[in-house]
Amino acid sequence: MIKPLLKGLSITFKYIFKKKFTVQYPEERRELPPRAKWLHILQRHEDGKERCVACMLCASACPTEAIYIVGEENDLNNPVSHGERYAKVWDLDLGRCMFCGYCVEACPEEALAMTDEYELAVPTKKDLVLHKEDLLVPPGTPPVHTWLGFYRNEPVAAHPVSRPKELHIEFEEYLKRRGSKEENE
Amino acid sequence: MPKFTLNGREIEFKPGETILQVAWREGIKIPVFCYHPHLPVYAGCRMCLVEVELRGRKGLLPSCATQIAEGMVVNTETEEVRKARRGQIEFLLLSHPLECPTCDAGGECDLQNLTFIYGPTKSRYTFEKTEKKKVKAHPYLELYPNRCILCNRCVSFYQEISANDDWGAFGRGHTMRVGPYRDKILDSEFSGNMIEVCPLGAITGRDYRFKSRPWEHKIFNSISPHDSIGANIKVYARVGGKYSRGHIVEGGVRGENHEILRVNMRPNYDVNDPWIDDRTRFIHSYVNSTERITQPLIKREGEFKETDWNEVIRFVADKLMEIREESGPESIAALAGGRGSNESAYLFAKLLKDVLGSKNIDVRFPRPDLANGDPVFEVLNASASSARLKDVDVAENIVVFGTEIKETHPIVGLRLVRARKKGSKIFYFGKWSGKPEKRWATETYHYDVLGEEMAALAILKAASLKKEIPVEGLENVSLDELVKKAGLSREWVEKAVNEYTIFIYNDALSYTAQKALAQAAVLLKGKVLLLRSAPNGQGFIDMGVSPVLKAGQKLEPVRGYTTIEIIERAKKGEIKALILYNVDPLIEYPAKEEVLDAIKNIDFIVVLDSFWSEVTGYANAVLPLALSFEEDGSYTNTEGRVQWAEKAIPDYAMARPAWEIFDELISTITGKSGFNSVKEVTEKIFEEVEPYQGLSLPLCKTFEEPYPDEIPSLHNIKKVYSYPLVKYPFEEKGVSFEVPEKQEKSDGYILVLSNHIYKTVYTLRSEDAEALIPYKVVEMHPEAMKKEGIEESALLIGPRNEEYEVVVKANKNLPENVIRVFGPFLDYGLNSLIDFNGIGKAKVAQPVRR
Repeated sequence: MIKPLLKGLSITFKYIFKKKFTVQYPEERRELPPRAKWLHILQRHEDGKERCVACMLCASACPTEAIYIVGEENDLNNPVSHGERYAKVWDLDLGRCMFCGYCVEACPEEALAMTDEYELAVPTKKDLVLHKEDLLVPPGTPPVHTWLGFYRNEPVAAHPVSRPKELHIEFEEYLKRRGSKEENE
Repeated sequence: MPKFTLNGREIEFKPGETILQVAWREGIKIPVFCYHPHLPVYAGCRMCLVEVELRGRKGLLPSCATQIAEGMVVNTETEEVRKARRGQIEFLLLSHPLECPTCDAGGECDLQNLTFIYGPTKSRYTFEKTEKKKVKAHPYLELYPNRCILCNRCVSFYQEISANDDWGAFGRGHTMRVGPYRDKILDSEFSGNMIEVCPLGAITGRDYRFKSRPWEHKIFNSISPHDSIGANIKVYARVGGKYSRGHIVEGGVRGENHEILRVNMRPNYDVNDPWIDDRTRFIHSYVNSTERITQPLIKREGEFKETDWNEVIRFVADKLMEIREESGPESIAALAGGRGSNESAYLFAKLLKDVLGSKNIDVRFPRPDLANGDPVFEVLNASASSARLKDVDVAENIVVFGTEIKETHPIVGLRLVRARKKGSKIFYFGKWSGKPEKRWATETYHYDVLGEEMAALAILKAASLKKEIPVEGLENVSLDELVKKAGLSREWVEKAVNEYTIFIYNDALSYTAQKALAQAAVLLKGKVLLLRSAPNGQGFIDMGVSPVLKAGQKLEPVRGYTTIEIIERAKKGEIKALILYNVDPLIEYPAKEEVLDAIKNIDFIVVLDSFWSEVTGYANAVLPLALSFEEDGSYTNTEGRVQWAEKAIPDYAMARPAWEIFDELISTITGKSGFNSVKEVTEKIFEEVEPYQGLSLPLCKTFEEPYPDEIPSLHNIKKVYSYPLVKYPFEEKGVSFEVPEKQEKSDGYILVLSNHIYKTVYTLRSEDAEALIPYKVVEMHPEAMKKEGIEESALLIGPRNEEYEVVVKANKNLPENVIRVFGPFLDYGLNSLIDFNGIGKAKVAQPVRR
């Protein structure tokens, strides 16, 4: 009787002094593998111009049709991107997205990349639609060569901490802001 | 038939055929860049090289330019051929920028596709690519010389098909480039076709720039709403929900993503071939104009109140029946602009003639002399063209009379160019002529500005002298007298009058002129090509929107009032109710003051229109109409071809198709149930209207031409369309003529109402049209401008001392005492200076400087 008990306890004691597996999730976050495919970001050139030129290849590669783009001509004096066109609208419907990463693979400008940001829960379905402003990284962020770098055998850069602002705010603050929005309406 | 060997197969060929033609017909793919089936062979791209063996000699030859000889052994896919093609593409890519992500042609680019199939994956060229500057040659065109591969297709089209000369290729070697000769707007009304002819994205259209990608579109087969030729078009539209291409909301509410992206040609060898004019191609933004009427409105106590459709239809029906009971059916009148579908026209005529019992309904221009009847109907027993557009290609003699083909029906110009190339004699009679006419006319003759009728009668007299058949009413007048009054020469008229002549003229000419030319065609065993001014003018007349003719080209036993009579009776107060269907008399008709008097005298005006304009202010009820891109319907073109246009985008706000409105009005008044769909109305027309009997749905017959899949620039020609013809009851009738008195010249300038290709009801409401025609513009002879001391703007002073400030452009083709004025008059009130014959008088002064 005591033998099996000790056998079981031996496993407990074996692990009791080792490093813990459990992550205290909201307080602690697990480190994801370097090529984790979670939330998209839209990258910028080193001079701060947007990389996306609205070629719409990501939208056509997308198997769930989650991406919607409207292109527009760049103002020559104040261009938004390199090249003649930029994306006036770049919407991503996370409700449809299945994180396959085909869009990143299709992107000829390395404008799209995927990050390790996986906390994507939002209170309403409408909020699942992310716009260009939510996805663009701030100017000066170092570029990520997620997929293309992998194929070129280049070292994979660390993911930048660039969370979209809407998703980044705390839930309570979010509810507060939403409430005030409704009052305004 | 002789035979040759193609890829190991024995194949028959007709002498004169090229290797490429036979190979494509047999389903063997040969890539091309410069070859286009409707353009002359250039053989410059060397992409179609094939291995040819004849009499023991072997070599690579361009298959597009090599005629087959008996016993030839041709191989299209040997290793040597593939190597040659790979090398060719490497050469083409030497200085081709790799900007496919931003290029508009990405996805429908021949170079992209063929590089994928044949091309090298790497370039050995390590030097800098040549940079050439972007050229803007036209408000709607953009040329990127960097991307150009010098295939010469655009130059062939521009110089050979549209017979213009201000676009070409210059330089040699690596400095060679294609582009405009001058820094001016291109002179052609067909420049947009170069976009479609271009195998890649060197020439792109500004209306479509950067908006979308070819795989996102839904394509609808439609008909040009701009002229009565009814050029076949494909409407590329974004139709659907916000986050998906797949979820197409059909018949739903028009949202922000329902958009017409571009218009391309649809080949129809009977009508437009694979070409369309720039107006048809670029002018489509008016469908989202801010001037669109969004809601049905009823005027109560002097103010418009928004209502719903049920209420407005009940209101209009009650009011019309009330007026009919009080003042009789003759007090109801209706005018149409001829821009709707046949179905709408049919129900419109039915509402007026059968339900309300009034025959006062007209679609024509308010010319006083048209009160005599329908001129062409009187001669030919049908108010329609006896010639087909195709006849123009093969005719030996053509007389174009008093019609500015370039401004009103540009597509006909391409056929005339082709006819001239074949050696036909084309005589142009007009008030003046310029470069557009010189492209196709072998001789241009100018008659007096006021001598249009005399000139037509002179042609008729000359025809009757030539054939020795007397014409009733013209026995006592000599040809010399008529010719002198018209300001022509006897020699010219006699030269133009030949056997089997086709007469081309429009229905805006005077009654006598139209009738005389039709009679001259009958005498000469020729034909008449009557160009309707209204886009569906022919359909409207066939459906009975005419005071003289019933539906199906039959004479009304008791005729109603024509447009001019309606205006005159209304001034006297005899017309109590007026329905305006797609026409604004205040901006489209001349003599604004008189029309305004008439409008103010009418108790009840219903306006059915798509746009706000001047007359909507006087309306008692305003009903918003859908435009032709927003409804299904059939349209009869000027040669009597019934063509079907598909609905491309949902209705704008609460606007509805006109046939629905007329159908509901009819069923509200009679209490009988109406039609359920537009196709039911079409079937009813094919059953009831006599010349249309025997036609059936589906109207459109298509056949595919064998072109390889990897050549996107030829995809549009893959399907060729063809539509059935109406059978009109033509019959020659004896007619008599009266020689009218010629209007006397007076001092000052003569204002002549004319047309401009970019000044129509639609173009005035679209974006960017101002780049093509400035607002408030008139044209004068430069000498006259110098004499008056005018530079850019001037004041026109009318007989009652009213002043109009206008922009003056020099046109050295005009006679010196003429000011050319363009209708419709949305931008200025110049129509009050012009009488119902389209002629006016004015003095010119320098503008007041402030």
